[in-house]
Amino acid sequence: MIELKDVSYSYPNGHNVLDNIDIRIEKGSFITILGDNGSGKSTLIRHINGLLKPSQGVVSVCGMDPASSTDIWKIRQTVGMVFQDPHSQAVGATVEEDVAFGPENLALESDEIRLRVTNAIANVGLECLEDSLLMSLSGGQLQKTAIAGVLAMVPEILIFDEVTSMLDSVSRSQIIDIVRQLNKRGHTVVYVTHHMEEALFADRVIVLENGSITSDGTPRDVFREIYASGRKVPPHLELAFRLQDAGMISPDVFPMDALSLKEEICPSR
Amino acid sequence: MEGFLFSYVAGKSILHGLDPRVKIFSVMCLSILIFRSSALVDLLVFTLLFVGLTIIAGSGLSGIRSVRPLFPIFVFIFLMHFFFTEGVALFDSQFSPTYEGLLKGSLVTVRFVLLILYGSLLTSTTRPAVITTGIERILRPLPLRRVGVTSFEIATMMSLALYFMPHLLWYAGQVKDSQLSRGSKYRRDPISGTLSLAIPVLKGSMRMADDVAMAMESRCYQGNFRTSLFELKMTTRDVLVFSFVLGVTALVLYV
Repeated sequence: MIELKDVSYSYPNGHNVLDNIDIRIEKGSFITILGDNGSGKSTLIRHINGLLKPSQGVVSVCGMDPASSTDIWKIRQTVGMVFQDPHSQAVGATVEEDVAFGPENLALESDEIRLRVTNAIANVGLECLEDSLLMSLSGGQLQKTAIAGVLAMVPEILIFDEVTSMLDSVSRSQIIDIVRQLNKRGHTVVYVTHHMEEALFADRVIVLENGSITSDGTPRDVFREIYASGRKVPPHLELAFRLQDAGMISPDVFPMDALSLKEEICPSR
Repeated sequence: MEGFLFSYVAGKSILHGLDPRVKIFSVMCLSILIFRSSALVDLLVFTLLFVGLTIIAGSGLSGIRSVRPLFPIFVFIFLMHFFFTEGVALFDSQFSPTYEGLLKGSLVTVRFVLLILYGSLLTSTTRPAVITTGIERILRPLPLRRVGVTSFEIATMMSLALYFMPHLLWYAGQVKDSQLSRGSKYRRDPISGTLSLAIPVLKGSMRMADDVAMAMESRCYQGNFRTSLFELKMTTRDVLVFSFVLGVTALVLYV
């Protein structure tokens, strides 16, 4: 569905951000791209909906080329992208006006726009705030509005670029729940983050370091590899790996959080 | 956003239900008539009309309150005329304000206040998206492509300006607070304080503009034909109001 072959990208000043990236993403999957700030995560995903063109290599999305001017608008309908800062992606005064922006650009009839706006707002649970002014919303509500704005374009693929980095813990977990629900409903999800805990929910984790892929596999394999190399992993995973190494719990255990690990160690009756 | 400059106040009055094109046209006609009026009595009539329309709109004082940030500009306009119009001096002083200045200053200031108030009445009774859709429909027949823009681009620019005006004020407030917390002498020296505020605000708004442009492009914004969530339809009531405003304006201007 999405294929990047030997993709490299350099800024006009010669700074190389991506180096020979090869990724293939299947339809319906949930991929997390994990990496520190400046590792090239955002640059990589901006190639998928044609916001950037590779200096070298080929990108293909559902058989279309994001670098081609003929395919670009079809690709942007297919690939919805939610950005990091909820304030600088809002373009309407109210929730429904902002969500309607994408369908309006697709020149749909007002009845169809209304239907899409209502459905998208319901998908992120903002029904009661449909008429609210964006200036009066919290960061989490604004980010949900941004997600609804992308959903209203009915994309097959959803890209989330560090969407929780400016949110509090409650809003963060609400946004992650919405992302997981959207994947369960059939959307292909590419989720970019530097929070390791958020990568645990994916089918596959790709680790980027200085523009190159250093790990690619299931969360279990990737986090095992990170732990084995002596780097930090989430505390509950570190404890689980230590217990596994000591033979105290099964090597198959891969807890999503501390509570799941507690259940493995001493199951509640 | 209630209380912000030119903000929308939700309601179900006759004014709320009018087609935005009729409201924009009416405000344009009123502006022409206000600018042509040279007597304070005429302006009193426009003031009473404004009060009547505000009562019909049911928006109370919200619309009036939202123009409070412009109060220093009103004072500035009045003082400029009061002190710099030639005529009979009211009293002897270094600046010598004149009687003519008092009259002219009052007239120009009241005109300006009325223009702003009628503008705020339009924005307080019409959603920003509906105003921009109305403007887009008005501009559509014009050959704007010859000068390199489309009516859709102008409408989007207006819509973004309406949304980002309060946002930029909020952002400037955040930068100001952060500078004050780091020992900025903004209150003691407002001129250099404003300059030191302007640079980060400008830099931040440029960065935000880049981000917004990227978000808009990724949602298929191309600047050409686009539809609207709010479909505009002229009703009999709209046609009647339009005809009435046109008739009264023509009568005042040409009879």
